[in-house]
Amino acid sequence: MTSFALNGEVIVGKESVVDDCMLHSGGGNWQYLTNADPSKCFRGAGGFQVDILSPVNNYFYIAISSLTLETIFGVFLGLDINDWPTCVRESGFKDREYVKSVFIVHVGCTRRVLVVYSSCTRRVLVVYSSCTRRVTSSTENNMKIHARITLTVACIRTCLCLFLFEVSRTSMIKTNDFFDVIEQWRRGSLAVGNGAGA
Amino acid sequence: MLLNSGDGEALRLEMAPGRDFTTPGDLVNLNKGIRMKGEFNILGWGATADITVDLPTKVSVSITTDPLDLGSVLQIYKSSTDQTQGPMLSFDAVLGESFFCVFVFLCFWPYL
Repeated sequence: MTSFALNGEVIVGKESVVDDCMLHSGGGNWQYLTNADPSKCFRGAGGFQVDILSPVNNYFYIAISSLTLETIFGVFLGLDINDWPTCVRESGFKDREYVKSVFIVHVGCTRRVLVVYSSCTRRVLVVYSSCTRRVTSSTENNMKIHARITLTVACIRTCLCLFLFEVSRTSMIKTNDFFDVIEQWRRGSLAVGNGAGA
Repeated sequence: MLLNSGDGEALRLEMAPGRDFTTPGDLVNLNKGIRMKGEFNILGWGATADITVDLPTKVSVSITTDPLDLGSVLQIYKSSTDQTQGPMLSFDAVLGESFFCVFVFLCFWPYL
C-alpha cells in the first residue's frame, strides 16, 4: 500500500506495425520482434517503482530498440530513405549484431580513404564521393502506436487511503458544489445528458 | 562474456540497487545494481559499451569496437592475426574474491 509502480512499452511503426514489428505469442499477448526492421519499427520501454517502506523494491529502467537515421526518417517522419547509403541509414544507436556492412569511400581514383570492417562482414557497400542522394518524400505518414502499460494496483489503494485519511483528518470535502448542481438542475439551467434537463 | 549483443536493445539504462527483478516474459527483468549499455553505429563503424556496477561488491566494464582503419595511417585490430575484430576491453572486479582480472586486447597496427 505504500508502493507505486508503472511499467510501459511503446511500439511505433507504420500502418503495418503489428505485422512487421510484433509477434502474436498466443491468446491476447503480443511480443515485439527483436529482429524487427528499424526502418519500420521503434520500441521503447521503461518503468519505475517507488516503495517507501521497502526501498529494496525500488527500480528504474529505460530501453530502446534502436534509434538510427532510418528509424527517425522512416518511422517518425515518414520519409523514404531507402536510396541512401546503408552505412548512413544505419547510423545511430543500433544493435551491433545486425551491423553487417563494409564501408568504403572512393574519392576520385583513390580508393582507400576510410575503410572500416565490421565484425560480421557479409556485404560490401561502395559509396562514391560524387554521388548526391535525394530524399524522396513518402505519403505514408500514417503511423500506429501500440502501447502497453501496466499499473501496479498498490497505487490506487494508497491514493484511497490518503484520501480517506485526509477526509477524516480535516473534513475539508466541500459538498456545497453538489447541492449547487442539483439546484441548477431543478431550475432547468443545467443541461443533463441529451439536453433534457428541465 | 558480459556483452549481450543481439538482444534487440541498443540502449539501456537500469537501476535496481536493492534486488533482482524478474518477471518471466514481461517487461521488468532487471539485475541488481546499475547497468548502462549502449550500442551505436556511425557510418559503418560500431562500438558497444556495457557497464555494470553493483556497489560495493562488483564492477564490470566491457567495451568492444569494430576494427578501425584511418586511411592506412592508423589501423586498430584485435590482433595481428585476427583483423576481422576490433579492440576489446574487459574489466571485471569482484570484492571478496581473490579474482581481479583485466583483459585488454588492443593492438595497434600502423603502416603506410
